[in-house]
Amino acid sequence: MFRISACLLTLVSFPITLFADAIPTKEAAEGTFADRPFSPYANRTFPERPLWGDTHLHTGLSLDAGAFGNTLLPDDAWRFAKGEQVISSTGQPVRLARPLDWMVLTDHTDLMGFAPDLQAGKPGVLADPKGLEWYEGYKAGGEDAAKAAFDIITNFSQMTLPEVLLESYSPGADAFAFTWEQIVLAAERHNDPGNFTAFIGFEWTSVPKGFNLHRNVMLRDGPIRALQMVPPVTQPPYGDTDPKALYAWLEEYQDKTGGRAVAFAHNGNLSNGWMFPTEDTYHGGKVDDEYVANRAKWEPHYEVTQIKGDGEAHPYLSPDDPFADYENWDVGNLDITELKTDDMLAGEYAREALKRGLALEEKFGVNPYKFGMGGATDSHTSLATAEEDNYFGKSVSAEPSPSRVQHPFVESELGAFDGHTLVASGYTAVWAAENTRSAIFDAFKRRETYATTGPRIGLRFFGGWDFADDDLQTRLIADVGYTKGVPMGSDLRPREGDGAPKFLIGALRDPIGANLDRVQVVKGWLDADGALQEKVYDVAWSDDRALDADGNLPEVGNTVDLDTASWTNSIGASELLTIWTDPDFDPNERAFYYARVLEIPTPRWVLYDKVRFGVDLPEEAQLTHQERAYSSPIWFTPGE
Amino acid sequence: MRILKEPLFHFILIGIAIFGWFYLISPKDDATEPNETITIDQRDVETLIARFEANWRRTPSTEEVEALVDGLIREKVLVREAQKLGLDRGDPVIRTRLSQKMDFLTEALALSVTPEDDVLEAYLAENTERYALPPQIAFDQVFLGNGADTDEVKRVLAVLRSGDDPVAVGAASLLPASLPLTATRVVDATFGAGFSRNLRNMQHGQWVGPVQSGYGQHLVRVVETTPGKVPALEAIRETILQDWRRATGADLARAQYESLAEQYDIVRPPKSGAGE
Repeated sequence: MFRISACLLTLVSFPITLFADAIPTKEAAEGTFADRPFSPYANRTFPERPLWGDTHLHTGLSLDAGAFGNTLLPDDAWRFAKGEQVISSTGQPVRLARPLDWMVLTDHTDLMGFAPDLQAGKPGVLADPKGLEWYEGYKAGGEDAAKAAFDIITNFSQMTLPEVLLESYSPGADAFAFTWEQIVLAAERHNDPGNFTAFIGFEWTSVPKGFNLHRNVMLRDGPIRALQMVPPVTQPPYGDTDPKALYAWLEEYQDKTGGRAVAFAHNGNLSNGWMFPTEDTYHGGKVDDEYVANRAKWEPHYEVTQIKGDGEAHPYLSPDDPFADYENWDVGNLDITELKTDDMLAGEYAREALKRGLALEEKFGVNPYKFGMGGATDSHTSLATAEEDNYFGKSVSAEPSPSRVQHPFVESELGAFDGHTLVASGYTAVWAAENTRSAIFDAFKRRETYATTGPRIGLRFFGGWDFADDDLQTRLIADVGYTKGVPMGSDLRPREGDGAPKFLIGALRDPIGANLDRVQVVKGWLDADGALQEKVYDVAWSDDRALDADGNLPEVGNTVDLDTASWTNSIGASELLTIWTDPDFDPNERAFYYARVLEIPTPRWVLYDKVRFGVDLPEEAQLTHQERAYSSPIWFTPGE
Repeated sequence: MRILKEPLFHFILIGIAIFGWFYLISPKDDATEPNETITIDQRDVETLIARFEANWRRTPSTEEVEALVDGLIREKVLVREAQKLGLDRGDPVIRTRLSQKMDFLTEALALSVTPEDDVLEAYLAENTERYALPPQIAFDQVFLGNGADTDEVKRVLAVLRSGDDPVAVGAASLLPASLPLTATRVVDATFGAGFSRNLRNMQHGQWVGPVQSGYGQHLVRVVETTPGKVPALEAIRETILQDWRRATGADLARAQYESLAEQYDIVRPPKSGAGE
């Protein structure tokens, strides 16, 4: 007995002795930490400028893009994003005004690589009667090609693709693996750490019955990890449209390769209410502990604005927000086989989802909808164009032409998404200290990103408890923000004292873009009765405008010349800075806050079409708009 | 007459009609050629065996080899007859396969070539924009806003030159107060087009200005510059070689096509009016 205790004693004391050896004296320790450097810029670890990118772009490798005539492949897409001039699929030279800093290329995984083989008439495709029929249609061009493309997409969404073709272009087939390798290696060729980051990614194209549940996936890793797996698909028997299947793939990817991946959804507006469920999922599951845990773990980001509509807010859900009515697509689901009804909207829009997240967190202890904001083009042209005056459309058929405003994007017996309602949006800005895969990916994980509808608006948004008006006088806003508060995407630090949260907000116009109209803070909260609330506050604005009797800010004006598609920065402000304190704060209520920045009115892309092509626009086409930026939220959770 | 309703009987009739028609329209000397020869030699047999082994992972038995040879003879007879009947004409599968084989020929050529260094040097020189390391600049800046007059500019400049903390002067702004070595295109994306050009020849370590940006006036102190340069071929040989092969393959295919197409007079249909 004694011997055993002695042994235990040795075991226990051993680590202590070990540590004691390593602990220096106080005097020695003090010498090892340098004094604060004189230079205020030394040792900075926070980002100086946002890095601009696109999280969602398709090349000719995607089934739909290729079938509709996109002949540009990943190398072209990367070169274009890096600022090179390329020739579009319709033969038009095109270049970005400013290169991007990073991009995720996200080709559809289902039948990945089929389209280029169809275009080339590879024997494997032609051996199938349907394949031969489509190829002949594609070669004939014009109407026949469009008919073939629609037939392909219809067969895809109805899951009636010829088995032979499905098998040859699904996981397990050589063609599928080689296409994945082609995507991975192209990204690797163009990844240039420090200058341009090329992410390996894909789009998991779940669209059961036309309800859009798409997710994009971006990997933090290079080819060594990415090539250990092939990406998942949705067509049975090779895949499943239930997001659970995607989560399982992500789990396996991380376990097997040691890599890291995130997924993010888009176009809740085309899901007919299924994007942000609170009770039942589309696939017959329940929103339960497992669901909220998976969603919170894998989806820290949401693509809030893109070509198929802006998904921040909807006037039906936010009747008191005069700016909620922006580029909304609310006709139906993706192929308009089911029309939209008002009760679906709450499951579709980001602001409502953030609110629902608070209620679910109250119920489960985990917030499944705690996401950062981003914008993307979702172009199917291989061209990441989100600028109004340089807009190459959603698909090859919507590349610049006198008639593109007239062609509906989707049309069914029930309704249509008209061509002129396509949105020239958007990009994602990332606050990352380095332009590398790891630094940008990690910023996505901590939600330090924001969305814009295209312009490169600078936006800083910090939350804290003790910002003071003096903090606005400094020229190092970010220093103050990171020191005294937390950046966008974070949780407020635990409450000190009995004050309300304060937000340090700065917005800077695009250096070659339009002035700013106003900065707003959108607050959502769960009140004492368990009801979800929201309010939009105007917190900074241009031109010395005064609030009217009802507390509303008058409109900024409009300088757009409809004959020349031009505007002047004679109204609005270059820069807006403020510290805002929540006047309605209740420390017992869960809440989130995010910033929305509005530009002064500028021309929409259709007005440039009208002026450059001299064409008439449909009467209902909107000619001007106020572009905007959405920060990721900052959350407040009551203490115990 | 039950036989008249039999599908087989119909097939035979149609067959006789087709062959009869082809017999009538075929040139006479072609159709009457006596016994043509089809020879299967040892090399053909070896190919058949190799293909069998690749599929089945074993050597075929004697009977199986005989069956393979019979199959090949059957294929050759039918192909020759089909060619005589012109059945290969107008078949999209055959046509695509043939044109693809022509493309493969040129692509394979480009892939197999290892060019001399001077070819790669020339390729690099033609595409310097793609491979050049961008010029970089590091600087501090003080924003004066849009309305600063000459006196104000002079006053702030004097304060800065006297060594005061640059963070304490100038207007509050989200613009970065200093940038570490940064590509000039990134500087221009942040401050507006042309801003970096104004900084290019400035003396280092000295506050100067005003310099105009997309936002207003700035005083600037350039800390460091590195000129843009094209890396040596040795440093990026693999990249250049890959890109050269891709580009050359495409160029060759196009050039070869054009030279072949030149040998033909090509008659196109008139363009349809609408275009859309």
